[in-house]
Amino acid sequence: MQFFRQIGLTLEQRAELEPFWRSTRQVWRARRPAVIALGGFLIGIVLLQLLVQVLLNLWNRNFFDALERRDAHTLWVQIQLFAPLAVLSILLAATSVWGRMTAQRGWREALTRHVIARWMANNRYLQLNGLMRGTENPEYRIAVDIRVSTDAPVDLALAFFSSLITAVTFFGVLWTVGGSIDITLFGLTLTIPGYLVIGVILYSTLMSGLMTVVGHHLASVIERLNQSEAEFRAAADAFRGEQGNHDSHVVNGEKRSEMSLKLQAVLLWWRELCWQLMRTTLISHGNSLSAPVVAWVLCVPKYLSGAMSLGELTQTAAAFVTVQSAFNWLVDNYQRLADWRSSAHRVSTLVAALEDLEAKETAPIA
Amino acid sequence: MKRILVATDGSDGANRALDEAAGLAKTNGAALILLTIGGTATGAELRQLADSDGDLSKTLERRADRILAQAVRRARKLGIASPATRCEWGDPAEAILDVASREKVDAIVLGRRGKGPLTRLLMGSVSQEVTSLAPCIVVVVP
Repeated sequence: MQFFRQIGLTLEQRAELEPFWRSTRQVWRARRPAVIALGGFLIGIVLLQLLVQVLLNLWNRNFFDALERRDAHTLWVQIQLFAPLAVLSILLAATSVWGRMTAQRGWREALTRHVIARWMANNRYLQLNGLMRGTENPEYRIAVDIRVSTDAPVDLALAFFSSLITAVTFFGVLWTVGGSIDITLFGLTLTIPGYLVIGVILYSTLMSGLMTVVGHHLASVIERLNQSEAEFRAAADAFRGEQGNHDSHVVNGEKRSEMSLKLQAVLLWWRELCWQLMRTTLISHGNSLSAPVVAWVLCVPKYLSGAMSLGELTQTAAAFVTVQSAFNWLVDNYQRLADWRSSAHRVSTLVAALEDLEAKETAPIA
Repeated sequence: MKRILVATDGSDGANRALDEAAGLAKTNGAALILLTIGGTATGAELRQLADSDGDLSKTLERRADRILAQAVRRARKLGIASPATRCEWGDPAEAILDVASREKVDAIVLGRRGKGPLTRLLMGSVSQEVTSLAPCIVVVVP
């Protein structure tokens, strides 16, 4: 349950985000051809990037095999092959940025216009002005929270898809190139098929497990910090709103105290976030140092026995690190997921309040 | 001496300061203002709040209210019928000086808190800062 809680997938939280997704579906439906075309384009880019990654992995093997054989001709051919692969990889990365940002801009524009239209209709912005709980600071929700809530899902979804197909593809590399290994124990020879696949699964499970244990408060703390930031802005906004009132000097002290309290809450959550990030950095940095070494160590017995060439050693080690990185999708995206969850939740609250007002406006007068 | 400010966090040191301040107020017939500076929470408390969807601001407010209520009861026992209460948030020294200035107090009474040597070296102490910057008499109760 804790795991799902971290990525905001509990049923209750999904229900809380329903107004956000409802509005999103409305704006996507109105632009269905563009959404399908851009989605297909982005998936195509991810698949091409994977193809280039596989080709680079093969190139790695051929290059180091040629190096081991001291084969100057093949080395020269490989160097010539690298240039187009690198150019293709660079072009795909740049195109991916264009595709992602175009999707994000389109989604943000559509959702922002949609919410603004509903917010301004029938002077609803006046009715929402501090009268309904959970809709404080609607301008900020429209300007910033919609941006964050439409920005992150595109990156996160593409990264997830990419991680998934990368892991599956490079499992194949680890299985075929890594092959099996024979271990002799008490005079018995044990053959472990696809031992690198088993190794990467065990290692990734260990790292993800450690990260889950060490950082299991991180997502909640980030969400609390974001919420506190929003409350601090709302308190500052309320303070500004009181200025100019004839009795402003009376409420001045109260509002100032409220602002101080909200600021203090922000600072406390920030301090806790610092500790949480320090703890998760211990694991993530340790992992970035150890993953390549673990890969090499697992491959070395086969290399020393002559069952694996230098090229295959580098290829499988690279594949091991690639699969391991793909497994880290959740860990790498903890913070963005939490940021997205809190922003989407604030947009949802605003949309839900607007829907309530719309329902009241259309309800028959008793 | 007409107005005396005493800062409290509910600790034993703060209680000793409150006792002294109440004595001073009675002797001089001065009004007593009880001040607490809220806004501290341990990491464990924050993590518990984060997991239970608790409200940190409300928790801080409740804690400050509890400290002030205890201080009021103690002051009443010491013969101060109706002490005024104030609650501030954030940096303690800054908050004490701010309230002292706003309330135009004649004396500030503080307990000396037992910070570790490293914290004292890095941050200085609240009593040191208040003593050097206060516009009035400052009594630091050991």
